[in-house]
Amino acid sequence: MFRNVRWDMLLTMLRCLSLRHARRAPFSTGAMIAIVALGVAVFFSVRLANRAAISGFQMFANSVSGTSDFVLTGPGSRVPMAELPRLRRAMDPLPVALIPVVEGTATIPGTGKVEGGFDAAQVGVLGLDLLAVRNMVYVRPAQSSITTASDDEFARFDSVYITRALADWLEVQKGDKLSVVLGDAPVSLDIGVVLEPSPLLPGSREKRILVDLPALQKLMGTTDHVDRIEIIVPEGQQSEELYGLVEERIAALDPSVWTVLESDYHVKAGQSMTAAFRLNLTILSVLALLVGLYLILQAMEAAVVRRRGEIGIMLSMGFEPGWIRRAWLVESLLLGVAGSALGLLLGWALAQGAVRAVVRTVNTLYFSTTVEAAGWDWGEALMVFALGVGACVLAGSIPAHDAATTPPVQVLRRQGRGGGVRLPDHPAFGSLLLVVGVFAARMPAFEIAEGAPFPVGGYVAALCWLAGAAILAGRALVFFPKMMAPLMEHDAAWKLSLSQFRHLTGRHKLTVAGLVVAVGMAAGMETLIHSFDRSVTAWIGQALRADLFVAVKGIENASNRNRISERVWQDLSNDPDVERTDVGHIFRIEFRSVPILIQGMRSEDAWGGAGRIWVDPPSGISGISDVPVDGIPSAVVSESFANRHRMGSGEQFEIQTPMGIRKIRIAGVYADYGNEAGTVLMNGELVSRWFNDRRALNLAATLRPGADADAVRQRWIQKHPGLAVRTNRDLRADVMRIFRQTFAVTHALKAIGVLVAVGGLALALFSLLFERRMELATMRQLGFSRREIVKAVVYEGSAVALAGLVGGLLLSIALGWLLIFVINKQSFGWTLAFAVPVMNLAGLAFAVLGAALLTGLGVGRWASLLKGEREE
Amino acid sequence: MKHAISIYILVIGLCLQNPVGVRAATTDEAFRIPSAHHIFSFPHDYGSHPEFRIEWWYLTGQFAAPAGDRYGFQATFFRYAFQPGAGAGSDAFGTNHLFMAHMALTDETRERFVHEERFNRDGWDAFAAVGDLDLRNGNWTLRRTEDETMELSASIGVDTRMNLTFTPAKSKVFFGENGLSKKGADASACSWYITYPRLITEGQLGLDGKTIDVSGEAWMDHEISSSQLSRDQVGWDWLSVRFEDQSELMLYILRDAAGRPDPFSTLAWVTKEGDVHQSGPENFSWEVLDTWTSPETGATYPVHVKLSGRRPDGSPFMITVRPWMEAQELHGKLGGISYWEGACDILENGRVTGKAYMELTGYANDLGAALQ
Repeated sequence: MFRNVRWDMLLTMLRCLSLRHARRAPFSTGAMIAIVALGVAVFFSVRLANRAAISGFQMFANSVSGTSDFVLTGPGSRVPMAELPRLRRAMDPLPVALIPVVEGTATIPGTGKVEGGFDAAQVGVLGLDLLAVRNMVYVRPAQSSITTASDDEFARFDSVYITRALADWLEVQKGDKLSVVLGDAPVSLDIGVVLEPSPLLPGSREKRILVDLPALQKLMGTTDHVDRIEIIVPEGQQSEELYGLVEERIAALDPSVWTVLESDYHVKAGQSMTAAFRLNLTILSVLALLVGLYLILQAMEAAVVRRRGEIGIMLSMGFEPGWIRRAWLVESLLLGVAGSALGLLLGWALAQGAVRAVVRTVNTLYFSTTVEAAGWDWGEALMVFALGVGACVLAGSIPAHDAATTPPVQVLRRQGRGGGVRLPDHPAFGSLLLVVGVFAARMPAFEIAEGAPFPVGGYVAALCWLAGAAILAGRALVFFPKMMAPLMEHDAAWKLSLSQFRHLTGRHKLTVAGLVVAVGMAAGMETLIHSFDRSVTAWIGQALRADLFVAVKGIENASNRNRISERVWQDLSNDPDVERTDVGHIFRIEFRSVPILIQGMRSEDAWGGAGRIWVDPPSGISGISDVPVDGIPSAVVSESFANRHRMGSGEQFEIQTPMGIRKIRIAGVYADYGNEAGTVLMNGELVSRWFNDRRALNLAATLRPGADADAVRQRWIQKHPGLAVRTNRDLRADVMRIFRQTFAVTHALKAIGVLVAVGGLALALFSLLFERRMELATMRQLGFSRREIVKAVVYEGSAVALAGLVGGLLLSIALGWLLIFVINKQSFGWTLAFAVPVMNLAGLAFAVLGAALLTGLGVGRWASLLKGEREE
Repeated sequence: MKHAISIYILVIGLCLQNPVGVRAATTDEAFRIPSAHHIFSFPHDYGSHPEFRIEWWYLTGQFAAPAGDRYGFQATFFRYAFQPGAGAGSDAFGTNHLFMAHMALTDETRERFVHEERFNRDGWDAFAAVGDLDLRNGNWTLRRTEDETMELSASIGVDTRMNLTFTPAKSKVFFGENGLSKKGADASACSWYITYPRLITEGQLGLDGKTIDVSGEAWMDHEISSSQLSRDQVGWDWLSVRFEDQSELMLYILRDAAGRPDPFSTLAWVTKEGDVHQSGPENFSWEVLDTWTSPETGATYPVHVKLSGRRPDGSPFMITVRPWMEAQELHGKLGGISYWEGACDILENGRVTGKAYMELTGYANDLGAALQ
């Protein structure tokens, strides 16, 4: 395109066409840059937020001791202590460092910094041999930096290291005491060292506590095992060779005792588990970018229309069309560069807010991660920048082609009224897209990683329906004059506005299309959220029936490693005010390379919690305490487990436990909105034995008739200050709040969708009227009052908004259905009841129409003041 | 009858070790102080003595490859009891003993010195067995295999590996009065000092991906104490020499902060027959010929020295200690204690008559404070 380019000519044209215009109309140039910036910013911020949320899964141990080359663990993520010397002997000839690791969580109550609704912060605790880890200075001199502790501190096993991030957050320093809940009891920790952040210690940027390993084991009640052993190959010329030798030795280990994890398994597990969630977010942000693209296209096209006169004159003067096209493309490029650069900065700023929303969702659904800020990433920035500039050039290429190929006479003649861009807008094409969408929606999910389904068909269907609805809604404007004309037969402004729809321009259709997409997206998401809310409310009503619910303090996801000791849960169960208790044990294991939860229930209820919502109710096995005669215990599995692993009632599977491989038979499938990983629910005593751990995750107590729940709660809190004891009412409120938090990001994207829709409408109206400024000026001279012109503009804008709104709302019902029954189900494995959020959609309609009205008033007033002879 | 005699000897031995009614002397922290009444018993005394605060097994020596390349090595296993109340530990992660270990190799041909330190606590990854020689610190091990033969398996970084066996060419000797070596005026500043002055050393050296057979000789000390130095002492200069005439020499000069030698400094000769002759600082002279300043720590070490005095037969001697290379400093990245320990040649009248290892401590840090 730019071969044999005469740059001096190109520069002259740029000066005449683009720079002159930019100087004379700085507002519209600025608006276009802002549009590009907004689209790029939304996309960039979501990408950065996703990255930041995942970075929180990186192993802090790695950043303390150097990057691990191999990670070994045992069944159930436990390595019995007796295996440590055996592993050392197996590795003896090799100069590798073996780093046992225990992970825990500490809840810091009373920080005054509300997190997830609790007045308690939850931070990761890492148990490492605080003495041995100093040896890393010889093993990985270039990476290790734990030796920042001074000599008099290293032999203190009774104090803890905390990161600078945590120290600053809690406003504590070395020598202070830190009160936390570890296990199920409050403890006071002496802060011995504050780890300063450094490029060598990336984990120190997060809020973490580092405790001597045996001390953490005691606090957590897990003295019989460590969670994993990290193997680190020293730096040196022979490292590669040694790496191979270590692999050989690992391969020779007993596979029933040892499991090899990839050294970045935390990151990978996090990535795998949240793949669907992050991809959903990315797709939604791409949709925002697409809508932004539409705005860019519209703005560029409006610019072509505005400068038709100049283009016509230049063509008449003998400028080749190719030059016009090039100049136009370079202008698009410059706009893209300016807008994308601004968008990156804006996106980075937005990401700081978005990351909190993403992390909140990830915290609730997956693991605890304490990332609070999204870091700048050059790779992402370059990619997004290129995408932004490319999108601008693409958006500019259609109007550029239009400007360059239209003959000069025709251009000049059409000055008053532009046809605008011609997109494929045949109703048959739109209908075809809708049909294709129906078929795409029936496609099964595509697995992007093991256990991480991606609803490709669902997204294709969404795109088809978006495009189809946009085309058809634009065409529907044609029927407007006939339908609306009788309403106000004697109103000249009404007639004037309706006359615009008799000769529909591409711009009208494009405006309606943009509105349909934006409203459809926003309302579709609103429908999903509302349906989720309704389903969870119903689920809570069924599931939460006990009077008191007890758990360790902190965020109640599976990554909270604190547990209630058997002594404590037995004590609570034997309280004279308690009629019966359901005690839950939970273990995270790897199943088919993805994490799942094995949940054990000690319950008098048939399947632990009377009010389960059954997707496929159990039959044959009467309850959770039954062990069938064939020796294979039964379990019920969550819907997400069944969907993700494609298993159902009657099927059997094996899991690896510290006691060896155990078989389980699926007796039924239940709905569970608690986690996406997939849960296997079975007999609590059996699970405790399999995992050699009798600590409980939670306890639900039903009190004897007449017992005062609040009084019992107070008594328990005083006796066990490390426990969170909630009444039924409190827990319901907490659960609902947590579920609503999961939609924090979706809400933000929805808001952006509405903003884009309203912005697009304003821009389109402005563009339409600017194009007709001569006509409007003539109308004034023919006797139309300013008021009538304003009215005409308001009518036209409202009609366009109404068409877009109706199309968008209809589309949103289809999209809502798609999100709930296809995309959401395939991604998360949750079945939700479809519910239309009537009030919220009415609010959205009101907002869009109100915005149209206000924009119409503003633009109409501006149009009414135009003078016919005014030149740009 | 035989059994009865054995039991009789054992009972007498135990009584002498801890006479009935006499409590063993201890430090303020209740660690035992070595006494001159100890009757050494082997293999028990090869092993660890956890009731004492400080203990080390110290191997130094030289070996050569068939091609003639010469190497010096140091392998040291320390045990250092933590102060009571260091923190709550467990069997696998104890808080009773700190095990330090230093490993170093001097490659004379390539003028290369590599070393590594390790800190570990008693438990799964480090221990010193009681009752026999069986030491571990990470993947570094030193064990007695049969009779008095020992095996060392160690690595330095990823590129240096040593698998060596040590067989005594001479019987072990005991320095000091009945094996009790006094290091200062403080009652507790003493150690049991057991030495193999000449060990035949054979094995493999893995270096930069190649494994070569090596052979040579080594010196091994095993010292047990609860306080090595008096409060006013800051360090020591230590030298072990294996002469070509099959005699050996051991010297330690204890220094105060002003650099003055302590009266408890000792020169000991081991004759070809294995007899030990010891004398105080009045009978020898230690003259610094030249120094070397470490670019790493800034410490200045007297690495070129002249030693003169009298042999056991009364004849005078004057030897010059010449290091293979000057940069043989262990930097103390972990414990903060830096010192110089290196392979040296011994020259008499310009001719090499022996090989030595020299240790120079307290030049970078006050070692006395560390070992109190």
